[in-house]
Amino acid sequence: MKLKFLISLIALVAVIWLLDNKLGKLPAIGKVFDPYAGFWQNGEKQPLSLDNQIILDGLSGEAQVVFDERMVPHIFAENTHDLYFLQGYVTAYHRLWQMEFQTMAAAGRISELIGTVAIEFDKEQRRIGMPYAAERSVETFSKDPLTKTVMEAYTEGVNAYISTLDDKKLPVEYKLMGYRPELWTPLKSALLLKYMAKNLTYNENDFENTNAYTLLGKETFGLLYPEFPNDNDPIIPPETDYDDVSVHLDSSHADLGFMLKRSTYDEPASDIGSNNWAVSGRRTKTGYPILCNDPHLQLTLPSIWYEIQMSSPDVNVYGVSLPGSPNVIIGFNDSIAWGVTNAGRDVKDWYAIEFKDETCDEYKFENFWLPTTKRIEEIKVRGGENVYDTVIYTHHGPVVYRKENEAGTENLNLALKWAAHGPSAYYELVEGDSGIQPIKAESHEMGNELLTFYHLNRSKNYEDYKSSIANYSCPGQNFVFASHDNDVAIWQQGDFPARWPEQGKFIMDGSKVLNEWQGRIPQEHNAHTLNPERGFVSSANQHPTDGTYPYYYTGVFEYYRNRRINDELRRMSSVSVEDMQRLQLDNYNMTASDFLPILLTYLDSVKFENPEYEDLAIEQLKGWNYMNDAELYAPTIFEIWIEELQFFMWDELSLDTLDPEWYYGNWWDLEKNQIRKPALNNGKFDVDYPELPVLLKLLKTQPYHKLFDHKATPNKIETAKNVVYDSFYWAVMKYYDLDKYQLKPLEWGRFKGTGVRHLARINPFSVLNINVGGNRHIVNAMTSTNGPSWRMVVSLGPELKAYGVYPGGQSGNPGSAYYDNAVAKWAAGEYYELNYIRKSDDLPEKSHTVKFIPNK
Amino acid sequence: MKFVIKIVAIAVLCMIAQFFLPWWVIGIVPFFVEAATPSEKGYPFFSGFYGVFLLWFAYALVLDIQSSSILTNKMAGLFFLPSWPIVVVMIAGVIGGLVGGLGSLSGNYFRQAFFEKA
Repeated sequence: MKLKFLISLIALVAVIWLLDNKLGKLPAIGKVFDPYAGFWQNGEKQPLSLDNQIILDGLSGEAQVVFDERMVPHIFAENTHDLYFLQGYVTAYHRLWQMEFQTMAAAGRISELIGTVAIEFDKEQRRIGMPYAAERSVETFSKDPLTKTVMEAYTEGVNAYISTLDDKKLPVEYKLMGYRPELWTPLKSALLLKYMAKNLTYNENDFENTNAYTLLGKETFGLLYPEFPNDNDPIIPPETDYDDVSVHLDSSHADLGFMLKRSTYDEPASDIGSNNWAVSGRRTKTGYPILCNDPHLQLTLPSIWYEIQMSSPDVNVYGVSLPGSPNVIIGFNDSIAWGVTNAGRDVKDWYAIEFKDETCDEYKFENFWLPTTKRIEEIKVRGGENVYDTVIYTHHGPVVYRKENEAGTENLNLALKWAAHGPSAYYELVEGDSGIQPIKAESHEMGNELLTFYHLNRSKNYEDYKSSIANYSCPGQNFVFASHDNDVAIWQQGDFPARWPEQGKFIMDGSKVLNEWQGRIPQEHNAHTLNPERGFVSSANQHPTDGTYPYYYTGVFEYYRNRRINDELRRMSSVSVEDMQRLQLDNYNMTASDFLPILLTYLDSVKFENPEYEDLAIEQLKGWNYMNDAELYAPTIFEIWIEELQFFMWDELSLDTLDPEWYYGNWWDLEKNQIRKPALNNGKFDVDYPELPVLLKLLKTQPYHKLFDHKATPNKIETAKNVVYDSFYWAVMKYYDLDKYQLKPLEWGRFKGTGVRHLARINPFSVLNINVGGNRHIVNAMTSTNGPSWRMVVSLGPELKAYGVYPGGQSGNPGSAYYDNAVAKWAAGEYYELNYIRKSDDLPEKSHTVKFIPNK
Repeated sequence: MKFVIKIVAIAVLCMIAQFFLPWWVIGIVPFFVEAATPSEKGYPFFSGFYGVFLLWFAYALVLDIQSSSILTNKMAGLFFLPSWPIVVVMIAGVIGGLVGGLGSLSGNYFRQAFFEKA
C-alpha cells in the first residue's frame, strides 16, 4: 500500500509540475486552462471592464475618460500631468502586452521571453545600437522640462495600471507565453520610437549598390540606377526656385572594387510607405481645406495605432497614437490637421573599419589611430545561459558586422552611422602646434521627437506647426499640414546629412576624413512648400524634389502612387470628403497603364506555342481597365508577369547564369503559399532590381540594348521582344498551373490574400485571407502583409468633420469584441465618423464615462 | 450516496480554495478529503476527478457563455482542437479532473497505508 501511495503521489506531483510549466512551445496547460486565472478570464463579458469610478495615487486633479461606442477614450484632464498620466493608463488598459512586446523587440530582449531561437534577432538589435540610441533619446527628453514631465507622467500612468493587474487580469499573451509585465520606464517609450525609426529608415541600398557597381561598372550602373529616373513627380512642385542656396562640401568619390557577401541583418524589400495630401479651401466644396493621410505599415494585431482624444485646458486633440509613446502622432485639433508619410531618404551609412590589431582598441583614421569604446551587451536567455556580445563603437557608430562574427561580411568590418543614433561628433583635420591632427567637431543637438508632437498637438496655425516640427530628427517624415486659416503646407522634416554627390550611396572607407558627414542640411533648407499654386500638397514616398535641389540625397522612392494622386488632385474640383475617401481607396494600377500598352505591342506579331492559354490571357489584359480590384483576374496575370519580366530582364545582376532547374521545379513556395521570388545569385550577395521606370524607358527607347540579351544563351542575341515574350510565356504557364493544381484562387483579392497578423504570430489571433484589391505602387497600397494602417480624412472649418478607420480595434485583447471589430469595415472601404468632443458633457451615444479621482 | 457527497465536498472546497491559492490546490484538496474520510464504494480516483471536473467544467462553461465564446474559439485553433467551444470547456474539465483524481487517489492510498489496518 505504501508503494501504491508513493507511486500515486509521484504521479500527482509530476502531473502538476508538467501542467504548471511551459514545455518548449507548449504553454503551461494547467495554468492556461484554469478557469480561475487562465485564458477563460480574458473573454470579455462587457465592452468595458473598468469601474465607473477609479481612485488613483499620483493624479493631481479629478478627470474623466469617456469611452465611446468603439471604445475610443476621450480624456478630459485638468492639467498636463494628468492628461499624459491617463493616456498611459488607458493605453496600458487596452494594449499593455503589445506595448511591452514591441519595446522588448526593440531592445533585443526577445530571448528572455522565448529562449534561444531569438538570440540572433536580439544580437542584431544590440549590434545596430537600438538600446544605445534609445538611451541617448531618454537623455535628450530628460533635458527638456516639458518632455520630462510628459514622459514621467505617461510612465506613472502605465505603472498605475500595471499595479492593478493580478494573475487573472493579465493579458492572455502573457499567460500563453508565461511571463509577467515589468514596470514601464521612459526608456521603453524611447525604444518604441527607435522601433519605428528602424522600420522607417530601411531605405538604404549601400550593400546592393556597392555590389551592382562592382558587377556592372560605372556606365551601366549609372544607366540602371539613375538619381532621378523619368516619371519623377516630386513632393515639392518642380517650379520651386533654389537660387539663394549654395552648398560647399569637400567631396570625394565612390571608392569601390569589392563585393559583399549577403548581409545577414539586411531586411528584404519592404512595402512600407504612405500617402498624405491636403487640398486648399480654394478647391474644396466647403471652402476649407481637407487633409488626408494613410500610413502603410505592416498590418498587425493589435494594431500599431491606438485612437484617442486628449483634452486639457491648453489642448484638445484627436487622432492616433503609438501605444508606448505619449501624444497623438497623426491627427487634428479644432484649428489644424496634420499627417505623416515616410521620407524614404537614406540616413544610414556603412563605413569600412580597419582595426589596428585583434584587441580592436584602435581603428585607423587618416594617418592616425583613434580609440574605440566597447559596450558589453548582456542577452538573457530563457532556459539557457546568458549570452554576452561586445559591440565596438567608433565615432561613426557601432561596428555591426565584424569579419570574425557569424554575421560577418567576409572581408570587412562595417560600422553603422545612422540618424536614429542621434548626431555624433565628426572629425576634421586641423593644423595645430604639433602638425595636422584629427579634431572632433561638435555636432548639433539631438532632436526631441516628443517635443515635436507635444507642440504639434497644440498648434493653432502654420507658424506653430513650423516651429513644432523643427525639433524633429528621425525617422525623416513628410509632415502634411492644413489649417482653419486656409493654409496647406508640407515639409520633409528630419535630420538629413549634407552629402557630396553619391556620398552614402555605397559603402565608404571609414578612415577617410572626406567621407565624414560634414554637418546637416540647415532646417530652412529642408524641402518644403506652403500654399503652392496648384492648390494642394501631397506626398507618397517619392523624391522630395527634382534635380535642381542643391543638396544631394539618395534613398528609395516611389514612382507611381504619387503620380496617380497628383493626377487625380489636379483633375478634381469642388472636392468633397467622399472624393477624398474614394481617392484613398483608388485601385488604379499605374504600373500597368505605363507598361501594358508597350508590352502588348511586343506580343502583337508573336505566334504562341499553346495559343489557347496565351490568347485568353491577352484578351483578359486587353479588356482590363487597369483597376486592381479584388474580383478581377487581369491584375493577377499582370502582377505575375511584371515579376517575371524583371527576372528575365536583369539576369546581368547575377554572377552565375540562372539555373533553369530552379525555374521548372521550384516556383511555388508551398510553405508561404505564394510564388517564390527568384533569388539573384542564390542569395549569396544582394543586388536590387533597378526601379521600374528604368525598365520602361529601355523597353520604349532601346529595344536592342545589350541588357536584353540573356547571358544564358551565348550563341543567340535576344532583344526586348524576346524578354517580353519569354516572361509572358512563363507568367501564363504559372497562372494556369495555379488553377490546374488548385494552388491558389486566381481572382486578384484572393490570390493576394491580405492578412492582419498577430504580433507574436499566434495564428488564431490573426485575421487572414481578407479579400481586398490594391497593391504596392497603387494608392490603395494593400499587399499581402502591408497596407493602409490608418485611413484618415479631416475636413476643417467651423463644421469640422473627421473620418477614420484602421484594421484592428481599440482593444488588444483577442478575447474582446473590440479586438478586430473594425477590420471588416476597413476591408469594405468604409469609414467611421470620429467623435471630436468639444465639451466634456457633449457625450456621444452609447458611451461609458469613467471618473478618475486622486487618492488624497 | 456518500460518494456523491464527497464529490460535491471536493468541488465546493476547491471552489473556495482557488480564490486564494494557485490552481494546483485542486490536487491538494481531494487528497485531504480522501485522506480524512473512509473509503466509499466507487474508485477513489473518481471522487477527485468528478469533483474538480465539475468545478472547472461549470466555471469555464459560465465564462465561455458570458463572453460568447470569443476567445474559446481562438484557443481551440491554437491547440488544434475542433472549433466547438464545448470541446474546449470539456478539456478544461478533464485537465482539472486529472489533477483532482490523482489527488484523491493519493489521499486514499495515504489513508490506507498509514491509518487503516490491512
